[in-house]
Amino acid sequence: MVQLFPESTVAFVELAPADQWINHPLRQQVQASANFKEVWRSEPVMKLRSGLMLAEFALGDKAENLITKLIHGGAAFAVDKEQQGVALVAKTESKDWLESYLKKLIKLARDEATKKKEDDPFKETEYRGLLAYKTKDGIVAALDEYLLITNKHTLAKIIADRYVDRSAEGFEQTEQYSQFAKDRNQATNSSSSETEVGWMTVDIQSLREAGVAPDLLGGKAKDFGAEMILGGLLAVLHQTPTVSGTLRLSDSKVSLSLDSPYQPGWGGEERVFFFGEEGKGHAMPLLQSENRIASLSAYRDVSQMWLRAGDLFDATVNDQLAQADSTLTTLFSGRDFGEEILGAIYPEVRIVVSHQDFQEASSIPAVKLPEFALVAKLRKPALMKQELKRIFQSLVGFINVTSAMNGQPQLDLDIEGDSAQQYYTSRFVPEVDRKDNAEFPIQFNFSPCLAFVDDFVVLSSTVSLTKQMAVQLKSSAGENASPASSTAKNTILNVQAAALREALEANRKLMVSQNMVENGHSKSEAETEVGLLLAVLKMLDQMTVDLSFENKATLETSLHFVK
Amino acid sequence: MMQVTRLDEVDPDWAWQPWEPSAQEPWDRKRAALLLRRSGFGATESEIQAALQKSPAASIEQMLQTEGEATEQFEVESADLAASLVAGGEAKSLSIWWLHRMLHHPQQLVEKMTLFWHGHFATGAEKVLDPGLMLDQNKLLRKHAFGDFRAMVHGIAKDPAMLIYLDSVTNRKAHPNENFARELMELFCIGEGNYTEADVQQLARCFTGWEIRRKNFRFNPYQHDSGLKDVLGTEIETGEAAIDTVLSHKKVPYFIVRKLFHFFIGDEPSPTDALLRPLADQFASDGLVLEGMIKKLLGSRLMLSNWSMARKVRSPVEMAIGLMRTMQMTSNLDQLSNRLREVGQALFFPPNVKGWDGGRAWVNSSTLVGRANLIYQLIRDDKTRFANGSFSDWLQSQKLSDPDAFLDWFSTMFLAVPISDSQRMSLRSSQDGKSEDRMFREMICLMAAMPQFQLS
Repeated sequence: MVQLFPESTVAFVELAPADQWINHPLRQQVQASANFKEVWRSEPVMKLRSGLMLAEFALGDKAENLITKLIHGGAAFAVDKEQQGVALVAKTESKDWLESYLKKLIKLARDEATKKKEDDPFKETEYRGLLAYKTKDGIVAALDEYLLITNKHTLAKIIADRYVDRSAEGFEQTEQYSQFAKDRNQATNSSSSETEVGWMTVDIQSLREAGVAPDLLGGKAKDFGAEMILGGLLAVLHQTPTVSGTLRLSDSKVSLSLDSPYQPGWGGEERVFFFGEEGKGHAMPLLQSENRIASLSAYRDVSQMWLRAGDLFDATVNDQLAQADSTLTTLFSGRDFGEEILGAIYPEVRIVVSHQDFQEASSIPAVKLPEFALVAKLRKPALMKQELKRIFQSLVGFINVTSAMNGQPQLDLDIEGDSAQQYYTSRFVPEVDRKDNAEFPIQFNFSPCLAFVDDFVVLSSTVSLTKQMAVQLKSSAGENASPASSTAKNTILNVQAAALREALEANRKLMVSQNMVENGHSKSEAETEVGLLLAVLKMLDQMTVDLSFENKATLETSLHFVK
Repeated sequence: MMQVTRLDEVDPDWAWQPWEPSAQEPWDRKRAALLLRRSGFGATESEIQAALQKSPAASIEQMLQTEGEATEQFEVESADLAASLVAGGEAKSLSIWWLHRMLHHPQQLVEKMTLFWHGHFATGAEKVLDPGLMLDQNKLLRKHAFGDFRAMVHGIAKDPAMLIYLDSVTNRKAHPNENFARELMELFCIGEGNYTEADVQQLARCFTGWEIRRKNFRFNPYQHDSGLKDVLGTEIETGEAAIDTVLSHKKVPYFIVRKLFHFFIGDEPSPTDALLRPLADQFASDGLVLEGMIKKLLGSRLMLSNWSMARKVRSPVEMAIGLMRTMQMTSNLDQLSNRLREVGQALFFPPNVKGWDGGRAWVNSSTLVGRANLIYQLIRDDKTRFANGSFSDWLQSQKLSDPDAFLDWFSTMFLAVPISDSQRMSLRSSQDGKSEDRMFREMICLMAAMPQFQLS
């Protein structure tokens, strides 16, 4: 199908023929699971299914058969730079099948328009012997067995001409596509356990030159949080000529990997915080915890990011950071926040987020938030342990003063543990004269805690998670000894669906209320929708995201299903 | 049948007699819509039809019933919603909860009266901060919405949210805080000009020792001035006795009845004491229990007369919730709450202790555009549904496929003054060739900027 698209194509996505993925073992495994059956029988899905059944009835065939016949020889989607349009082409089972079903579909749409007293949405036409239906927003055409849908009439003509004339010069002959095809062949040969079902390539350089998404593809960063998480990817997008991607299926997961050429130094000095010196910034192994929702490990030299903010961010963010720097420096007893506080830790940071079950808690909050912990290694442990301990105590004092002024609960500061391991703990104290058994305010999700384990600092939202982290750091001391023993990845994220579902389930009432007020749903509608979301999560096992910068930049995302 | 042309000429004995249908003023959809709009926030076609099956008096009697299976079920759902929204710790979320009640509560008069008392005993969450306290106050106002005014005032005097709002968290005998004492007489019970500055000072002494500790009211005997005080010519000692003394003032029934007249019947002009006397007398003889007086007011000849039509400017909440109820709409209430704030009516955030001015103050060149935008956004919001379905399905179910039929229906159900022929032509001329769905949505948006849309 690639031969149908012109040279000016800047983004190309291809989907494998339906028979290669529609009956994949992953689908059969998911469909056989009890969780899937629960979702399948749920009210919203039943509504969708009845709509689908009506459509099947009108078209006279099962949806699965229709998809198989529609994408019989695969499908392709492209964005054209010169026509500023998009086009979708699907190779169907046969010319006769396509013409017959196109007519049925057009009739259904026309009947619907008549019912709504709207004008005929389609104007039937013919171009070089090919059947086409013009609409206000584009064109639908049958190029023998190929279905073409595009939003630009000019692009439809170009594709039709290429089809009729069997034109030789086109996107297929570009350097971008040749490289893409070469990489694709290599990848296919090297991978055996996974089935490749989709591929894409995007000419980022052309998009950049055309001024598309200027904030994403160039210029200074406008968002502190986005820069911290995605700064390295933005640096790559500012320089790379292309990005390519592959969608794969295996017995238990769907994965999408996006690749781009990469050269150390693309981020410049200002993004050393993300890549590390000479691009050698690597993440440590992930930390574990009970009821873990997410574990993130990344190389981020936040101190460098803070100090180089002038080169990295636009004027608005810099103004905000200057203000924050002044306030935080005061809060941290006059110590320079960027250089001394953030600079006190090595760039290999790890964050763990876990579901709290509150089973042993006496004060259960109404909104149940997950607990989280930050683990990092100290640069000057002897000096910084004392400093951080004092700063932690000052912060607790500061929170208590402001809470007292606002009638909010206050923290009780303490030291727990023994001489081998101490924990600087703080816990919110319930009011002594509580009148009722009402649930506690949101603050009771937190019991901020600080601990030092060898040269590592653990700062967590709860005492229990801090203790878990301490035990783990001690038991895997060798693995955690130094950044040099890390993986070759820059960022690793793992999200566990079961714990995420439990965390959401604990706040089910709240989610129902939110759904009611945000969607205007009745309680039963909201309960059904929330129930469906939680049931869908039951089908999932975990999601992983890995980011690495070796010979190329690679972002790999996988969604694993419960077996 | 007397035709009211000027309020100052209305015979008080005639005005508050039960309304009876006549040839000039029949009990029809238009008048039933008026009653349900004023006593609530608007009604659906089926609710109007149900009201027409009964007399106005029977409908009002039903509005005053606060118990029933539907109400109980709704209260359980509403309590869950309140708990969830308050758990977030933001008083702003309460506004969403109340909008949900106004939209769905089976007994609309309860919510309408609670809105009245929220403006009367105005308390702003921007100062109170704690959503739990604001919610407690709202429950107090709802509990006594058309019940015992005396009990409501006693409750408000010890309500933590009110005392925080009026800077009366501590009230010491050495420095009595005059804020609550002044507002009790000026804004809550008697009105300006009916007391002296000395009365305020003496009354403030009665409330010394009244404090809020850990979000609860408490009496601190050490800080209470236990000497005798002369309030409004009566010697008293305690705060409770002071409230009763204020409530026994002859102006109290007139003060409250006048405000209710403006809330339910007309923004302008202000009625004379002579016109209000029958209502005030009933309120006083009922021992300041509101129900009888409200029943009389809502079912009166004056209330349901042609004079009363279009005598009120819709508040933003009345306009938005009224349209939603009339057209069985549901939407994103969080967004709606924000938009209502932009046009001047953020629930739980009245502008000051006097509450919202109401009447003509709702509409000026700036708010008129804002109000039209509010309706535009509401009508076009992706989350907006009509009887849980699409707008076109709803139009079909109501048999409103013809533009003239739709405009007639809308005029009867939502507008107090019908749109003129020229307005109708203008509305129709810009809609040629559009689908029903789009045409009727655009008509509503265009009407939202018309004067009729602003009037109840």
